[in-house]
Amino acid sequence: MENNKVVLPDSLLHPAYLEPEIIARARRKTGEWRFLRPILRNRTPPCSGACPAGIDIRQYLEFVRKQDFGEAWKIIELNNPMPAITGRVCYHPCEVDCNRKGLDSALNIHSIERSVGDFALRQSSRRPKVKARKEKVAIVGSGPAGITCGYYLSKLGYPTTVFEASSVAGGMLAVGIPEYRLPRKILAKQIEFLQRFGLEIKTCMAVGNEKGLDDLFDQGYLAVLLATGYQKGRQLNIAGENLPGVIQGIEFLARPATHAQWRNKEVVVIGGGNVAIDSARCALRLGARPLILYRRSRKEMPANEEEAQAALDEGVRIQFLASPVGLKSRNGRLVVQCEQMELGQKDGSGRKQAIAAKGPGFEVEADAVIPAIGQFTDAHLYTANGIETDGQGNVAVDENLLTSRKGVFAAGDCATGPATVALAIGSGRKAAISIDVYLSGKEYPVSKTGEIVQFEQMNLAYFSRQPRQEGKSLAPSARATSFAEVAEGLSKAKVVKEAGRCMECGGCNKCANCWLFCPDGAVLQDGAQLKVALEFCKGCGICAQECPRGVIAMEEETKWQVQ
Amino acid sequence: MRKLKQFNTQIASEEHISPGVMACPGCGGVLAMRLILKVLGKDVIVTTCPSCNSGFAQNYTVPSVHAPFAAVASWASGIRAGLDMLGDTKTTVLAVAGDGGTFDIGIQALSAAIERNENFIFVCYDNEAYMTTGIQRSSATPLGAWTATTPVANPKGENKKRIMDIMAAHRIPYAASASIGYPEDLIYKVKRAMQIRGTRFLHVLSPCPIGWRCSQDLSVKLSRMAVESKIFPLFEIVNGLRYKVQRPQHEIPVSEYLRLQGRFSHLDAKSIDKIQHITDREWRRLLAKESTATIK
Repeated sequence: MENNKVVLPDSLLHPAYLEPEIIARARRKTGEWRFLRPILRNRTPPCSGACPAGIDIRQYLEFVRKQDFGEAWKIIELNNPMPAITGRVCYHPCEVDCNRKGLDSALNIHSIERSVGDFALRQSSRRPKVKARKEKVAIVGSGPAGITCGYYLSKLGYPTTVFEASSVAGGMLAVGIPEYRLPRKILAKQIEFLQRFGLEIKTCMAVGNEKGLDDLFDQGYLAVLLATGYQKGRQLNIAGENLPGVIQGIEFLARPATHAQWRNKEVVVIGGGNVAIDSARCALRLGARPLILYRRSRKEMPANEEEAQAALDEGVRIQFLASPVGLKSRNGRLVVQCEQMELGQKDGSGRKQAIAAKGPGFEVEADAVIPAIGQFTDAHLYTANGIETDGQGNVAVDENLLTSRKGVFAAGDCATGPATVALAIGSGRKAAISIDVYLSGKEYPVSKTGEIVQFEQMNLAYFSRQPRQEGKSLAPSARATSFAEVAEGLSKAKVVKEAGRCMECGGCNKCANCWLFCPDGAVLQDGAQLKVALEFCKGCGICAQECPRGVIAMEEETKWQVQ
Repeated sequence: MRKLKQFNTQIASEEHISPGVMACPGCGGVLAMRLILKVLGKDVIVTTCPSCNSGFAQNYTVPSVHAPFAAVASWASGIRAGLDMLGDTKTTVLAVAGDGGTFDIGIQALSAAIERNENFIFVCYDNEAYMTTGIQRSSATPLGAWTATTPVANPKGENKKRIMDIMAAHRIPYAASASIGYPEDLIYKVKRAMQIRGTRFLHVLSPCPIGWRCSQDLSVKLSRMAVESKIFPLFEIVNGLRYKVQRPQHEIPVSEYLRLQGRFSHLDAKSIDKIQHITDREWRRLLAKESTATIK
């Protein structure tokens, strides 16, 4: 952790702005009394620490406060080229960890991000000039990981082509996330935006299982990124699974509109994850009456809490502690035979296990059944092309996302296991760095992260409570009939106001509290900089105590340490 | 929330205490003086009496004269008279004394000066005991506190002298209590005092980490907590009659304030309850004074 500290240089012992005569005239160098010395630490705020894409949230909020959305976009774009999308669909772990929630409530970071993203999409997408390079790169899969990697590589000048098997670009963004969370118009705009550096996306171009990668290398691609995702729904492994009327959640979400005949029909969704919730909410919008069967209780549901609550608000019913054991066809309808469950000991994931309860099971009649108990990745593509997989069937990668085959990289769910859009973006960006290093022979950049600022390290005397700015959302009654976007964004004024609630944890914003409260006048304002005159600093620690943001820490003077 | 960013740039960056101050690390008194002198500027003559301030007055870059313990208010009166004779109305006379030089030894000279309505500012930086000479009790030491002369077996059994009531009884033109925990407020009060003619009195709580037996970095925090717990309320009195009391934004029980100081560590729950009771009663009395202040 040594390199995280910003140690004041020795030159500060005789700072030019403290006139030499003053130092000479001072009868005592009271700094000699010091046992502790103040250290400025570059600490990471919890939001950035939690962000799977690693966005410098504190910094871009600073620009939002100044109403400079262009600069804010530039900061976000360093880590995430599609804030318009993540602002809508990311489950915002940044807000979960936000220190502000200890004072009143977490910052509405995702709405601000969404505004900045929408602002960027409104700007002209004229193609800026980049120095073209010769090395061609192929990317398999146009999901968030693939297109993020493609964006950064094309920005670096590499001619990059994305191969997408389906007819639409975007991967799970297009076929997994329902329209009411991510309007297709925004997605289309965003993908067009990402192509402004020359990224090429070829849809309906599946990379063959057998020798597919060899073909790509033969065509002159020097590096290949696998970003194929988790595209297949997991089987229930119960009887009657292939009856007509049973459709995998992941397949249903790709084309919900083709199931208009479900109007006023009973639809049973099996599972407790985000796909199950999304499927139920989509079925509701088709006019169906969805019922979710989940084998554990609400507390154990892996689905995002806000999404689950929205589903309940809209009228989706959830039956807990119900586990399907068989499917039957009866009088033209489907019957789901269920076992009553109860909660037992905690399992490896820290959740309580569901175990079958004694007593009779029960049956649920339905017109359609949607299993949504998870996805898997098609490992055949990898093994057939000579790429090793790990125990879970994911592509085995090292920390720089290199696979066992030279020139082949992997990013997104197929490398990390099923995760979020934000993690896929982070992983895609990392792959772009790795591919750049591979193709140009550069060194890997050193990533620096400081210690995360805890809530206890903030001085709350300098913050007052302010209500969180919430965006409006579509009334639950209006949602039942339309796929219109549920969450409305914030107005610009509200976005700026909300950004003003940021406590800027761990970042010096030159509030000059240290200067104001130093009894010895040893903290000096030198232009925009705050510096400590160690000649006279007695090390009392008031500056560290009164720093609102936990930037200053006290460290023991080495000269007093017993060797 | 106070807007520090904008505010701090309004505070003069000029320092009137040169570095290398002979004060202990974390001294609240020198911080109070640093802020007050920033507001008063260059045109000031300071007179002080035996106190920790004697130790660091040598670092003032403005003129300062050292008076006998009992006579700081008399000296200030004399300096003012001399300046007036010379026709100098620009220079402010600032008398600085600790709680001993104000509450005990200096009170006779101070009372007489206020009675004559001498034109100077008197700052009492109150660290609640005779800290320079080794932490002996003064009449400003709070109830229940340990000092060298009120040991743990027999802590101070009397309440702190209510110096602001004494000031109000003199019908002094302006008296205010201030705290280094609220620097904008302190600066505002000094500025206000500068605009008034006659004797002006500022009572500034100045934690002493050595005498209070607390950590060096807590001076500002304890000043703030003293206000939040209402042990040291911030208020102004104009002409001894009109009170203006500032309600703390965030309130805490006195136990939180006492807990951080070693000089109160011997107190049991019953004693703390008693201090809480007295504090609440005095707070109610203060508010009552504010509400009856309209009587002509």
